[in-house]
Amino acid sequence: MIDTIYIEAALQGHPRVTDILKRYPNARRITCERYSEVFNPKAQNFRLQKKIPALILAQKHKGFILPAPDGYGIGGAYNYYFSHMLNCLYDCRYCFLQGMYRSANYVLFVNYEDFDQAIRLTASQHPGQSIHFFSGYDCDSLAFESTSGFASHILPLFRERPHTLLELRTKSTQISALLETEAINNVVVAYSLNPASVAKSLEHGAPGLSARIRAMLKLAENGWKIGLRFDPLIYQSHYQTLYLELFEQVFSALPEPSIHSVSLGPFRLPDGFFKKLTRLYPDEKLFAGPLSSDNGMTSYEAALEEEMIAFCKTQILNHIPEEKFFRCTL
Amino acid sequence: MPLQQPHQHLIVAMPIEAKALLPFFGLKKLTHAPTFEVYRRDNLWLTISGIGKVASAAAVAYTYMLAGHNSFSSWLNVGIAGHGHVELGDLFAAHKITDGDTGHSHYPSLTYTLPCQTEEVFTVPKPVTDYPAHGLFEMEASGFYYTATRFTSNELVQCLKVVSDTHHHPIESITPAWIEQNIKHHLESIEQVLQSQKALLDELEVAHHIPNNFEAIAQKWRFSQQQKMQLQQLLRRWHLIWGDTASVESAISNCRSSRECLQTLRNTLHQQPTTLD
Repeated sequence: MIDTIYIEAALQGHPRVTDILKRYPNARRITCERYSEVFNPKAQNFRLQKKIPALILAQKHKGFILPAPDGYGIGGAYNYYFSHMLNCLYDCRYCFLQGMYRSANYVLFVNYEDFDQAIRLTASQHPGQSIHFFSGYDCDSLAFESTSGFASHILPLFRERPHTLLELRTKSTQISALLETEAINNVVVAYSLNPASVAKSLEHGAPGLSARIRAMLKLAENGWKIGLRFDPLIYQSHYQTLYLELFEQVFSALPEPSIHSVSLGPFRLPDGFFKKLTRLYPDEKLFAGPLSSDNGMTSYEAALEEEMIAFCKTQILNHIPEEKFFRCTL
Repeated sequence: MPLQQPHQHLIVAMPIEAKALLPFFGLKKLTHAPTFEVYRRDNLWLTISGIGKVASAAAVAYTYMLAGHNSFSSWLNVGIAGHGHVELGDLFAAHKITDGDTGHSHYPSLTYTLPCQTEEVFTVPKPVTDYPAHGLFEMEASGFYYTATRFTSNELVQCLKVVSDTHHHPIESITPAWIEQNIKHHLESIEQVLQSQKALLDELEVAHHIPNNFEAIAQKWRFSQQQKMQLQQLLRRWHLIWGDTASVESAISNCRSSRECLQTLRNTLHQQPTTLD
């Protein structure tokens, strides 16, 4: 799966790097000074690189914890996010990462202890207040877990801080690390979900809907709180039928008490990202949909977006109490 | 109808390196290329740059202009290099290219399966004979790579080096016949890399295909450059929804201007059911 691993020179001999390299004994190893030498150059094509992405093992130096954008949250007074990894193993055609980064290579920041320190510090700044941390903004939180072990590493931090909440956003069925540990009340495993046919058309390489539902169910049976993220909502003429079926599949499988929260998010991208995506994939039907640009953001036309949100919200509220429902307005 | 046909370029430093490649790829000399010797067959080009990174950079830039400044292109540098710790005659692709003068490094993207091992390449101003612990030593790659990636994406730029000198086979013992013979030994691998680069170009070509009737419609009325871009996008959408663009002609048959044409296409598309199937 990984043919090439770039390693920052300063990380040679780092125990976590040594462990990861052992997992890929046949991968070619290339030393670089800083990950940005490989990741940031202009002359790169995301689509071509996505064929065989390389892994870059790097050290993050600043910005470990960042305030989450306005409109992103599930009821916390303070919302932060962190990214131990840049880019995702999956290849979802609507994903903003394709527009944000020039490279499709995976960057894994291996200095987890610095993330720990930043989480401790941030949590201590809001004693007794509801503070939420989101993982999986620039990557999938669990898809690379068998190599990175990052989720396993940070879970104890949150177990010790019950006034915080951690959301692990994922589409992955790599849940063994979670199943092997006792469930933590203030950790939510949040699954991004779309109708099965949408997932098949757009979420290349990601587990199918049924596999995700099975993974959620296993987690719920083991006491983990589940988040349902119907995000981004994808329009098709028969979207109501598709989403009704999706909600039925998901809510009939999961016991309501195991559902921590449900959120809805529209398909939205900054115009610059959207233009880059359409240049990369002009043959993608998603981009031929009824989209328009407003205030620098490309999304479904406002009336259509509202119609979809209203329809889905009404249907979702047939299954859960309103206090568990959140609308992402990012 | 693609925007431009993709071009593939081979850059070599010496005529003897070219001699090994020309007959295999059926390349013929271009008589109208006075600055560098340039050979071509269809969309495959070969340029002899001369020795050194500046010469290689100049040859890339010259060839790019000569070929119609087509950024829809791939670039492959083939040459010889010294290495202290591998077998004479082995072939390597570059996974890192470091300029010996500046210390600056480049990292070619390895997005296809290579027919050979990979190694770091050091581009130096003079031949190296003490062969440090690792790496290939040669004189062109950094100039070649730096310039080629000004014109195309780095997945489409690569260097292949045949090991010509080692501790046991010093640089003085290299002969033209040896170079020719040893590059010939790797012709199939060189061809395989060209085919892999072509496959990447084909993927980009599919992505940038312009609907067949774009030119015909663009000539019916006066379209600004921006309107032409809009027309391309609308025709692509049309093609994505209906699978071809044949029905466009009847949809716009009553239009009297470019603006009306674009609006009609927009309206028609807007009324169609949207699916991802």
